[in-house]
Amino acid sequence: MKQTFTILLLSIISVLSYAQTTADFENFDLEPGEGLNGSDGSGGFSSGNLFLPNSYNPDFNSWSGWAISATTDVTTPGFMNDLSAITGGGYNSTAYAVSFASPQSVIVLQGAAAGGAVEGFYVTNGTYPYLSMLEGDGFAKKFGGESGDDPDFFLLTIKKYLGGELSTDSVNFYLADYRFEDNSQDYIVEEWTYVDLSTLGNADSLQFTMSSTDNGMFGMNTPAYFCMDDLTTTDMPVSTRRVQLPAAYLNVFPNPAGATWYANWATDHEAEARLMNISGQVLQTFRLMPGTNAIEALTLPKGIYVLQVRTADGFLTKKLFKTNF
Amino acid sequence: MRQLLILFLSISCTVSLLAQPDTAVLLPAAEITTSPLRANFTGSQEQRWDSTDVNRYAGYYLTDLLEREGGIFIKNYGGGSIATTSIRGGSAGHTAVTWNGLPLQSPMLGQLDFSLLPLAFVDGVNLQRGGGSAAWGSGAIGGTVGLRNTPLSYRGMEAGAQTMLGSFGFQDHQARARYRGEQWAFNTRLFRRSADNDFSYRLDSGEERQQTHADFRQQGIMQEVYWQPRPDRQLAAFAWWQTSDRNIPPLTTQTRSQALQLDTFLRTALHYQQLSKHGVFNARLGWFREAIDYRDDAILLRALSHFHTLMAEVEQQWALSADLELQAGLFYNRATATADGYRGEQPEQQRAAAFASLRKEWDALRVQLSLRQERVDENWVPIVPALGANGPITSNLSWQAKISRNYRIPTLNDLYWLPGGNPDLLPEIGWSAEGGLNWQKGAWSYTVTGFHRRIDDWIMWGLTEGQNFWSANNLTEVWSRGLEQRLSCRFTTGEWQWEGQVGYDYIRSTNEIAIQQPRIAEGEQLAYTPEHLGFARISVSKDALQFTYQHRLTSAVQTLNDTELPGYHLGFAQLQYQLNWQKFTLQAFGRADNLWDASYRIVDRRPMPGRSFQLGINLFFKHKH
Repeated sequence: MKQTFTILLLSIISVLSYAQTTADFENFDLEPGEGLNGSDGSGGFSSGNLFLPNSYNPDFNSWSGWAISATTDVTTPGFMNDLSAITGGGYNSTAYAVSFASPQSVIVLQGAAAGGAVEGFYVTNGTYPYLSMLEGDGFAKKFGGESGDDPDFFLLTIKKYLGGELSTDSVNFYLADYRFEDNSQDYIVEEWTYVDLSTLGNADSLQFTMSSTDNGMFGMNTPAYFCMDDLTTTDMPVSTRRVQLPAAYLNVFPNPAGATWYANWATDHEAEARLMNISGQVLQTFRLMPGTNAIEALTLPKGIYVLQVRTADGFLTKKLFKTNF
Repeated sequence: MRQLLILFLSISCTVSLLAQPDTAVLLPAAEITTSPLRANFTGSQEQRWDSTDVNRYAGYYLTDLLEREGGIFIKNYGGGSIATTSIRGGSAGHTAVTWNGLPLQSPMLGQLDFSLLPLAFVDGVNLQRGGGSAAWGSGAIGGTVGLRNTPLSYRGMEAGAQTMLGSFGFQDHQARARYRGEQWAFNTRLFRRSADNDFSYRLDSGEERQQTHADFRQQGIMQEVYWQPRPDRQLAAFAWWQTSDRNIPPLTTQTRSQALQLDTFLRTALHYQQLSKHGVFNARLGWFREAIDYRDDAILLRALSHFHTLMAEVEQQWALSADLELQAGLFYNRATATADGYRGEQPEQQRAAAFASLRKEWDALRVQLSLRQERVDENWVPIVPALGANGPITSNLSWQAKISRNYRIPTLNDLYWLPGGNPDLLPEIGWSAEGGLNWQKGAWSYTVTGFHRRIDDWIMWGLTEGQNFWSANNLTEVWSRGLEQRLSCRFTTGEWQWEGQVGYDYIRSTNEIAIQQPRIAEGEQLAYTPEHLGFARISVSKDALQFTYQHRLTSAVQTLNDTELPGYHLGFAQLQYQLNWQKFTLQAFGRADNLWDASYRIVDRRPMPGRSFQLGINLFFKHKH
């Protein structure tokens, strides 16, 4: 009991004293009106200690996951304007991140933030969902419905992954809330608003899901977008940080692969390996042997995967790409 | 030369003519647009409307005839908006529509927008319920609607014009000229229709609201030329051009809309028919070009698409003996389409089919067996047979039964649209069975038909594991079954003639495999498929006066938005007066749609108009040589 208390106290003290890093997405040097939707095939964006995965389909110019934006259009409704925040810019800045969380999106904490606590971030609505909720469109309803009295809401739910497990605890934030008895209190978020994530504790990655009261057979009708800025992570001290092993230990080829990845593990001892999808869900757990190991890819859908290798000395992650066979 | 002059006149002249009951039948061949073995499959329930019936609906659309007299559920998005059918619990793509024997469904969508079919452009309609793929190929699963054009049935001419005005800025103007000489016959039809559609509707809260941005304009012309060099052969040429320009109104949960849709099509066909003592030979050639331009300036969207399709068909029916008939034919179709969703590709679909049918009669039994084999691009569609029979039980009572296999091939959008099109899709296919009894005594008749149908590999757009976009897949199996009943009678009291009909359909059409995305439970009734459809119609006439009242009942339906739309009753009344003077006839009529001012919706978030009135006059001239 006493020991637990001491550890708890120590960890509180240590959290308080940790340095923080804020991802403000300004490192892409976007000018107002510009945006990055992953069409360069990079697979995602790094800012601060974050990696924001992006899945871009060049065949039909569509993206999901994350985009980085500095677009300023607060008046055009519809999916052609899916990169704009209703604020017309970032939180006291030019650039911000936009997520299409259908069915969900993920942020991976990396570098000094990996496995650490997340302080919080600023959130607002995208212009597309904002105007869709305010005025309705051909697919989604105007919030409040025909009479204006429907108790509608648009909810962002944040959970964390730690050690490959999804937390049961979550932080909920209402991007729109029409549940008030007095309709004049109904609101759709149109300013950057701070969301505190400190209650989630330490995390490897964050998972964002969206839900609303406007659903049909084909899922949620409300467009599943939100905008983020200034996500602050805590830098883990080197002593408690999981040590990143040299990248040269692990070589995967071919990458991208259609049927099989061959992972060359250039050490002399076994390691524990996990293959995860981009949402952080563990697909396979296996032992990685010194030398060349085959990893079956044939049955996996096309996309980005993460191979995580753990040893007693530290860990290593590698992004794997799967193409159509 | 004289023919050319008349052709010119009939095209340029706006004074023309509306179909009148055709009486003196001169050429039986002219009435046969396809071989009887195909059109009237033994064991099927068939309903036929001739030019007299069609004329009663002057100024209306095919949907009005089908839902009021056929008892068919029409999924109508609101006045002037898209309308599709559901027959026997099938989807919109499960109704085959033929125009003088050629299929009209869009190869991109696999269905037809029934709001673009003015009844003024046809002389006859038939509705065959149940599977008909062995005769008509892809899409003939729920039923088949056939549209016919025919030359005048006597030598002479008719010319007429009709004008209708109604509530919500409704206007409909039609003109028609028909001429028939010794060897040549011409029909020219024109129509123009528009409405503001600014009707008021009530919300559940009682609030009244006015519809906006729902106005439409449609116009079209159809030219038919028939040449009969000898009494036993005829060559017919058809050209049908039409445009529609409609604004798409906002949903009830939408503040405003700027969307609009332009539809334009040109359909041309040649039809050669030859009668011999052995039977009838038909050859058809068709070329259609259709375009849709959908725009929504508010969301910077413009979607242009168009297709053209070339069709050729030959068929021969032989009377082998007095009680044995055989029919066989070949069909070819090539369709190409262009749309943003094809990403610069121009997909092409080639279809070829062979079909045959044999009918044998014994004393009290008539049996028909049909087969069709189709090849679509590189793939064989499984062979589809149909076996039907009918016969008398007593002098008043007869029976009929049919078993058939039916299919619908994937549409070009299902196959090639990006994202989500799936080139590996299989056709939807399944068996259906039906049986019924017909009773007739004096002025009374009653029919009852039960049906059962399973369609496997039902194509749906859904989310599959590991994908973040919707795609087309052979996701489910649908079981449809039901019971259809019709009771009709006609009698005379003094100078009054009465005619009445009641109908009731019970339809269960359920999804048999649970699906996650879209979320549909096993055993759940398909969305927008009412379980109960009922109608009653009474018509009374005396001399020049005729009054008709129709009542329809549609039960509640499940929508795509996790909601249920309540059922509704609709009334319709029409009063018509006819005046004849020498060769001229004047008809004046008044109509009331939604007589009881029901507040109802057929599609979620799409309001329907309340009570509306229409007044029309129809003046025509008829001259027989």
